[in-house]
Amino acid sequence: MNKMIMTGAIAAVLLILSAIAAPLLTSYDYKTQDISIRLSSPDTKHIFGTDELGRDVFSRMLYGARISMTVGIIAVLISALIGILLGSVAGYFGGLIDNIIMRFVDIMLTIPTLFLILMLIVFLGPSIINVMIIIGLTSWTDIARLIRAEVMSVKKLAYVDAAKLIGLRKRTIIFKHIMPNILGPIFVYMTFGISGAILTESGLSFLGLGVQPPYPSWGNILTAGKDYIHTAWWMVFYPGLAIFIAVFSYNILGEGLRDYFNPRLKKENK
Amino acid sequence: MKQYILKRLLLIIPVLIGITIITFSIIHLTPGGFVRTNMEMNVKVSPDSMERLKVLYGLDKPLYEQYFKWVWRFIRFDFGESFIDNRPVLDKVLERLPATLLLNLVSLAVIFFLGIIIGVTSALKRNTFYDRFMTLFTFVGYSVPTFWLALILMMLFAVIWPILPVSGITSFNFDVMSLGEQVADVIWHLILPVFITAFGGLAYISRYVKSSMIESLTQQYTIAAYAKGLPENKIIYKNALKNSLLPVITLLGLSLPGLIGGSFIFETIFAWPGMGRLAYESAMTFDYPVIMGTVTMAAFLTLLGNLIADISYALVDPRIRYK
Amino acid sequence: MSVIEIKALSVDYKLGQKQLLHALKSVNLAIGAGEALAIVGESGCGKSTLASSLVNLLALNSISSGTVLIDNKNILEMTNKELESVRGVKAGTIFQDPAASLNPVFSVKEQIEETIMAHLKIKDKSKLKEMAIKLLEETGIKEAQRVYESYPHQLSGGQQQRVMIAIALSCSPKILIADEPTTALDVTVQAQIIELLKRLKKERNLSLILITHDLHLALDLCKRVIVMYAGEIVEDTIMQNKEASAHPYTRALFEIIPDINENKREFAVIPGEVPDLKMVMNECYFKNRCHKVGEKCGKAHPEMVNGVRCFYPYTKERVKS
Repeated sequence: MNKMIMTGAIAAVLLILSAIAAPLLTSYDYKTQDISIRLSSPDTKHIFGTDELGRDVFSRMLYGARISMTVGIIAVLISALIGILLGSVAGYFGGLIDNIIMRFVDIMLTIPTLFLILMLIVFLGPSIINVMIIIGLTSWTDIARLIRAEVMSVKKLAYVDAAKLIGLRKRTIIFKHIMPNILGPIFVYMTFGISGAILTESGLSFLGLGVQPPYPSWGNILTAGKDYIHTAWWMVFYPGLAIFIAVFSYNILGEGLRDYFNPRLKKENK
Repeated sequence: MKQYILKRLLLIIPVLIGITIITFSIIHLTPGGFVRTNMEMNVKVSPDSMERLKVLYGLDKPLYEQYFKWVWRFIRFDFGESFIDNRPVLDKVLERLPATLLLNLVSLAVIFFLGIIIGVTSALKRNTFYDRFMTLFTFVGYSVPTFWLALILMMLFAVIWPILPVSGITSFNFDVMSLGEQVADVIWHLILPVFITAFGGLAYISRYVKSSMIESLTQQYTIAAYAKGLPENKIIYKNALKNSLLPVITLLGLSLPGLIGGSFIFETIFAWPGMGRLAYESAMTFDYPVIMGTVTMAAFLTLLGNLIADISYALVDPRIRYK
Repeated sequence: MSVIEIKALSVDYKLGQKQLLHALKSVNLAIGAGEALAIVGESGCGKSTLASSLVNLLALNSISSGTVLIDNKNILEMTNKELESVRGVKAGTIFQDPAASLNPVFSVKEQIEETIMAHLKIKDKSKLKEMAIKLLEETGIKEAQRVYESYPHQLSGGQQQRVMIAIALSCSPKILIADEPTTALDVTVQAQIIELLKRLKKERNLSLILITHDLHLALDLCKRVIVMYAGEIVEDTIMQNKEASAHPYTRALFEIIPDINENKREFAVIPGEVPDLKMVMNECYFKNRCHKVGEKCGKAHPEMVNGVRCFYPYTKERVKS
């Protein structure tokens, strides 16, 4: 259990650090083109090879990590903010407000998220900022439902009643008393959310609907690689592997956190 | 029971209204409406089709009128005509629907079949090597970017070991095949896409089945079944299994949006002639009416899938059936 | 001639790493044919563990030693396959919460008939139905046909428990184990179920083992009462009232029975707590809660003498027969 948190956290931190320290880890610029060495296979100079314009794939991946990580984290912050707000309001007030918010969640769940994202991108135009906002705007339903359920169960606890008796305002009750109890689930969800957002962003960028060249992203390095699939495997293999490792690390971390915050008693009967 | 179904049907109405509101708002999202964006970004749209667009969505009319017009179109599935080839959007969407349905339904069947087997066996052998291996295996599937896996496998099967087709739904000589050969050909083309979709979707369902199976096995009614002296096989594979599998039916509905949503990345890679690829193509050519058509159809399919799942659940669970 | 003979039965539960909870400590008990016997005690005294060990329904984290003999075969050493021919055939079991004990997604029909099919190998549908309806009628269900076709959630608590009894008796076992059979039911329904158990015991000449925390119920249904405390039997007596008991704990249990005639508002409880079952001590486990505690109590662990595990027992009044 703790092993999962450790593994996931170390990998996630390493990914973020290497994204931050990109200029220290590579001597090549991610935009410098050199047609004379285009599509050269990995060697000691270019450890992940070069792309169709002779750019160093490793450098592009490091700088791509910056963009992918940023998009992932910001998108999750946006969705967490919306989700926590709507979820806690629905859970705390209940009744009509809850009903309206939950119907809205139902509607969001009915439109397949990727189609909704596709539609928004077509109307707003693809760019790094838009991709972050759009992923954030379309992926808050899970966390809203989770927070709503948590708030409802915490609300039943006696000390919230006690706080009401003392005469605290409702908003104070939500933020001072309920929030500390639901931080665990929020962390868990944000961790899974980052992996989800990275996956979505890379998928969109891969299709040319996300991060646009010349900015590198793991997804759009793959796009170029797709056309050279027969000759330059490294352009496909390494960026995808990076996406997989990032997503896997955050998922493992999320899984570990979920176990940590939710120690279920293992009752086993015959 | 009748009441339950009626209630469930009535719940669709607010959702449908919600969908029209969301899609309508997106049309008006860009400042000045999308017509302006259109001019800037899409050279293929002539001033003539711009006019048609204004008429299509009634963009010169007051907002409420536009909305009711949109709802009216929505109800009749009338999304106008494509900007690219002037064909009715509905025709274009409908001709792509079978390929998408085929791929998604086959994938869904494979995911549930394997997911249930893995879930049940992991529950029975919990904390063994098998259980841990399966958890890791499905977890890797869940984390791997499907489009990357698709490319890797295409690389493998197209270049190194060409035994499976990597693109399209049929071979080039499909027309001259006999019916049997045609069926075999389609199945042949389904293998890779279905494998990749299933690999990605297994984690969710197998985990659910596993925990719900473990729960059933620790319930009082299972202890009572042992106390009755029933054979262990009966207790596990009849009594406990039925309890843990019933809720899985509702998961069928819940996993639809993910599958359908994922299909546009997926169909594009595999050149699968489905709705997802149509959505992608029209996005690339700013064919707004077609985009709106595919999104609405995708939402409609999800709604339908959820409805079918909920009603079938009501039919098989005696606690709802006899209420 | 005893139908169940328990010798030196100990059951421990593994709690995490290397910690053991001693739920039963060397229990000896013989139950005769046609005998009605009640096992009473507070929660955590080991009575449910004792009940579970009778047909080996112990949890997976348990370690048991000693023997539980039914027809001279040790239940604790049987394989699952062998146990199938004991459970339901030689001993039927009913539980505290009938709503949870019946499988919610199978009809009453299926749940009775699967038991008959498993043991009696009867496959003929009309024969099965005939047997099931007869069983339901025997347990006092009025609309047997309707109940037969129903699902558990469509029945009342009393009906559910009657169905459980019908299932438990479907293969004519000679032993019926009833683990708190009325605790989850309404008071009026409780009385009906007790009457039913009385009648079935007599008609079928059952050995009835009743597990309960309710001394009233125990005395109502059974002559012989086994009192358990901290995983041990502390008293084993034929008794009808308080005066017939000898152990201070049994007397204390009598005193906390709410008396309907007296107009007391408070709930009487035995002061103090059940001792920590993780420890084995060389003293009387009831020492700290006992009225009659004396100097021996802290120095040695009392043995069973004349059916009482106490250094300073009350004198029993003679049982009037």
